Amino acid sequence: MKHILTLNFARMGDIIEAIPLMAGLKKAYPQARIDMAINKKFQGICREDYPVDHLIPLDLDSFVRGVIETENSLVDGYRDLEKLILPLREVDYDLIVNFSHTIASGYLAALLKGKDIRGLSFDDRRIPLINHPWMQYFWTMVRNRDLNNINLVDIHLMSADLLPEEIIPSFKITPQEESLAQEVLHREGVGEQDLLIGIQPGANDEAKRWAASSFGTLAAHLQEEYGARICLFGIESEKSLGEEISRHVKKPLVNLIGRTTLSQLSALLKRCRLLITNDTGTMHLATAVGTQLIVITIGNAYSQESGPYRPGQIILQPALPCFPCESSSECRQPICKTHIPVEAVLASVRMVLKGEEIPQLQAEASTPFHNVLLTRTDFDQRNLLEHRPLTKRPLTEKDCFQFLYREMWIRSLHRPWRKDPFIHEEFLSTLEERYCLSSAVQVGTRLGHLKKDFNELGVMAQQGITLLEKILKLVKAHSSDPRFIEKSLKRVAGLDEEIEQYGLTSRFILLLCHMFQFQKDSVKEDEFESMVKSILRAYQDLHWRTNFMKRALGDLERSLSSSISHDQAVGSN
Amino acid sequence: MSFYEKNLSCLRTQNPELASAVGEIQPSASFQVLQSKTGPPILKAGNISFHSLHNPEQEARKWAEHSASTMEHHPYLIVGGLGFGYHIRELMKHTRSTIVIAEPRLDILRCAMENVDLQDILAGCTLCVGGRLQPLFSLADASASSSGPPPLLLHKPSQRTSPDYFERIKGRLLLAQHLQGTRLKVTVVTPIYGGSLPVALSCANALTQLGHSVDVVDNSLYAENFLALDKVTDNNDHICALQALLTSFLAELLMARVAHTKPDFVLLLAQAPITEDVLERLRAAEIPVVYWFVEDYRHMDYWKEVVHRCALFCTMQKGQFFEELEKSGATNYFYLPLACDPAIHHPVPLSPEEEKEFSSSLSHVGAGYLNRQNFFLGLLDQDIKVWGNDWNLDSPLAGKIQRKGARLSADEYVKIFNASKININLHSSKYHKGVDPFGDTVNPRTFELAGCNAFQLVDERSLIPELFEPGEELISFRDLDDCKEKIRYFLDHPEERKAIALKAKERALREHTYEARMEEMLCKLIIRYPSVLNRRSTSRNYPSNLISQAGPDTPLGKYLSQFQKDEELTLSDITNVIKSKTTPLTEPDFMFLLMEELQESAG
Repeated sequence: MKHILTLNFARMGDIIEAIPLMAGLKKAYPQARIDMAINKKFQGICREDYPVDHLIPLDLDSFVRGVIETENSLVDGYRDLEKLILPLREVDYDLIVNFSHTIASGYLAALLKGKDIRGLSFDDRRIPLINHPWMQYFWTMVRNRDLNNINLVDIHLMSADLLPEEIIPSFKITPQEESLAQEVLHREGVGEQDLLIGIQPGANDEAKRWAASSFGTLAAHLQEEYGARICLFGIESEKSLGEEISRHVKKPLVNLIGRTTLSQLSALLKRCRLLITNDTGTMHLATAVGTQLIVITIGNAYSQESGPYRPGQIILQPALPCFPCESSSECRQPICKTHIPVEAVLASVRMVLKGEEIPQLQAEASTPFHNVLLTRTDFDQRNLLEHRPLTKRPLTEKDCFQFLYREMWIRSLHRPWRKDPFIHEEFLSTLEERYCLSSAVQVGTRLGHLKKDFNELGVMAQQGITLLEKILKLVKAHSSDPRFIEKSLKRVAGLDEEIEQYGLTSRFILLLCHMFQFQKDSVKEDEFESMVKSILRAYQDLHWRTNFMKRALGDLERSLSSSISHDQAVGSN
Repeated sequence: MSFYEKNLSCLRTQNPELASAVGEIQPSASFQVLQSKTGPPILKAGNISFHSLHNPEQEARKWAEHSASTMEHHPYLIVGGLGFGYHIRELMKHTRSTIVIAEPRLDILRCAMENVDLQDILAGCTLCVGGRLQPLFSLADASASSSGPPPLLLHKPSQRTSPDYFERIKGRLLLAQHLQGTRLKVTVVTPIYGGSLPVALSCANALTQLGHSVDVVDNSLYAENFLALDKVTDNNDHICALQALLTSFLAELLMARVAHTKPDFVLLLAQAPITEDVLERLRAAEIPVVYWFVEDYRHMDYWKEVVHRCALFCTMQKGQFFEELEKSGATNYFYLPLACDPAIHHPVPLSPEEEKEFSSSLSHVGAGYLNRQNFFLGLLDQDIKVWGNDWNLDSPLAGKIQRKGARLSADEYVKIFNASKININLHSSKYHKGVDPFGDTVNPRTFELAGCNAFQLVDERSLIPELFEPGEELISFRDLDDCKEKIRYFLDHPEERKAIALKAKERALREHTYEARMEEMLCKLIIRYPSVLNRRSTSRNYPSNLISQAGPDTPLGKYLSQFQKDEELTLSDITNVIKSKTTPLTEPDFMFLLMEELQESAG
């Protein structure tokens, strides 16, 4: 590999979150030049120590302004676009990883010269191609968010064939930046020994913002209880949030909303003992400078996907059936904004400030965490980030599926891990450790019913495998009967449709069908035999996945029943 | 076999429709056929002699030689006026171009066919007679971009008999020269309801017929809402305030539409909902506004707010109104009378049921204005049917009012016109008891009746004589007594009614169509505002400009040449084509798709 390009046109947080991937690429391909294309407005986030050889900032905002707002002709726009993307088109890349996941980035990828393009691109019939199983998983996950339990950073790493190695996104803050931050705080009357707690009340999307009044009440408590100095962060357009918060406190705030540069913000965040924040770019920046976080994740944000990529961070998410919102949802009844009580966040702060290992809590109605999914981030034994519950809530079938699917996808999409033994007892003990199994009998029974869906899907997958193997055998033997092949391919197409429709009947198997569909749609039709092989592979993968889930659900169904019998027996004694 | 029979036989093979029309018409009573001193017959209409009384052939030779020496070569030549054809026969000897004869009057063709042998001319030339000018205009448009419009050689005596007709042809050729095949983008804005609504729609149709791209902002869609405001309250001030708000909303709607379609100009019909602010913003956006004020300026004075904010202001009155306009400092006005729409206003056959309902000796179609309510009382002794809305059903006239004063459709109007022996056309007035003695405006009904081949008795209006010849093409009346006298006469003379109606129809089709009006308006607009075309020629996204900017031989220039649209190209025009492609996409395809996505993602 000589040239590698990553396309990262998302927001500030995504650029920070790309650090493990970029560092991983550099480590895996030390001889290669690694480029990253970003939106120019986020150029400032790529500090000197950012692990990239060649940064390509594209001034997308100016380009769009030129097209929309000026008297430029379409030819002017075309030429501007040519100039804009020229630096990307001049290089023959060995590998392009597109983790922007937008249609525009897909068209751009289609215009570039790349031997291996991962992520969204388009073929010359404008059919979306999503290359690499982990990228296909990403698009599957977007449509089945609540069953995903794998962080985006890990998904992106593995889509570049890199294994997670506990590389945490991190920035070094220079002593000069630290002293400048101290100057700012000094002007605000904050001493070096003062307990400084940061609050980031804004977010790019209104739906992701916990109520400013709640932040205000929280700030008042923290001032009262700890004598803490509360520092507000945010951008110019979020000033009104600061005003709202200030109405709830008795002592002055350090209101820096709209008053910091990126560099100052980084240093100020580092100075904070902890940051209480919505799911924002500031959250990722704090992750990168190593500040302890308490994250309130609501609306269409979802920490299992995009939460801070560092162990030990505390996350509060609403325990609501509609959470997280669909990505495209425009909720008109955002009850999640008030669902997480101030007391729950305050209790989390107290635990963090104690500096002790946080014990597992009960999520009973009498506790502030009754309505909250409280988790802490950690790395599992494969170094993938996971969310460990800090409150013991009753186990549901959704919890079971989140666990099982995580295990299944990791094995299915990284083939060497398929060989790892799946020790059911270990899995069960993890469930017992994290959840309350009081309603396990009912959960087990429902899992038993759902197992049948996987069985049915597995039968369909097997039919496809049989058909495709026959076709492949004939093709290889050069004794193909065109009519038979045509008839068989029609039956395969019929099966595809059946699988698609069957997926719609249960949300727990839908993601398997989506994944199957993405895999099939991305098959290149260059050469017949390789096309048949690729389709066969999709069927085989589906079969493997349904089998895994079927077996695991069967085991779980039995275990939950016996485990509860045991619980009940203990209870009766 | 007579000249007429020989000529008719020849014409039938060349132009059967025209031959049929000739068969229906008789030469005017004012025509005289005289013998010249050298022998050949010549035509004299009134005091105009069409050829030399001494030697018509020699005169024709000189005219043809002179014409041939002054004109540049063009595949087509237009000769204005047939007369008895001597000048055309001579011209045929001097040119290999195809000669197209534009003759305003069908009765002159008939007279010529009766008196001279025209077979060589009928076989060798293309004949456009009366209002049947479409072939002539089509070839003018078609040749304009390559060799310019064809030259027009006028036969002076013919020109003197029908100056408006030849002015129209000249204007049309000038338009063809300016446009050179370019289709203009026009936004036509209708009123919410009322008499100028059908006029607006006919203008839109006419502009489309002329080959332009027309976007109609049809405010009649909001008529129910507008009329519902009357029921909100009895307080008239409040109703007016609400109406002003709705008017303002519809004006903003126009602005949004214009921002989207980017027309070359906007045509507003009288009472189209508009505000001074929107007119100013259109001006600031350099989109010329043409306002057709089809109102009596004495009754409606809102013209004062409009005239200075638009590029062209068309009126249906002259004289005192022009003086008023001049006093206001305006210089952008011109007279543009109403017209008929041949697609709607034409003779139609009636079913027996329709015949039964619609036919009568006398009829009147129109709203029950004060003067009409009063005037028609004087015709209670007649077999008359009165059609239209707003009539007083408690008056003695009630028995004559049809369908209890219900509104009628344009199709129904046309059937009534066709089914009535005499159509009484009394211009409306809110102030008089009968005929307005000082009335000048000519209502749409005058033209519509003419287009329908319907005989009309119309009250005297000072502007009628320059549009139709009273006594020949329509009959005017001064007052009720005069009207009754003419009713008696014409009910007894059906053949005269028929002949007059036919001449009115010929005149209307020849000169008074909305197409003719739109041509005239476009000519005025282009002459006054050549920037209308400049905008087009300099329009950044006009396909030819894009290709030229990209370079015709560059890959992008070649790529863009597939978009042969005669109007501004938008990004979505291009991407829609790309998205419907069945062939593999190319690099420019992906570039434009990317451009669109980036633009959309920016919101």
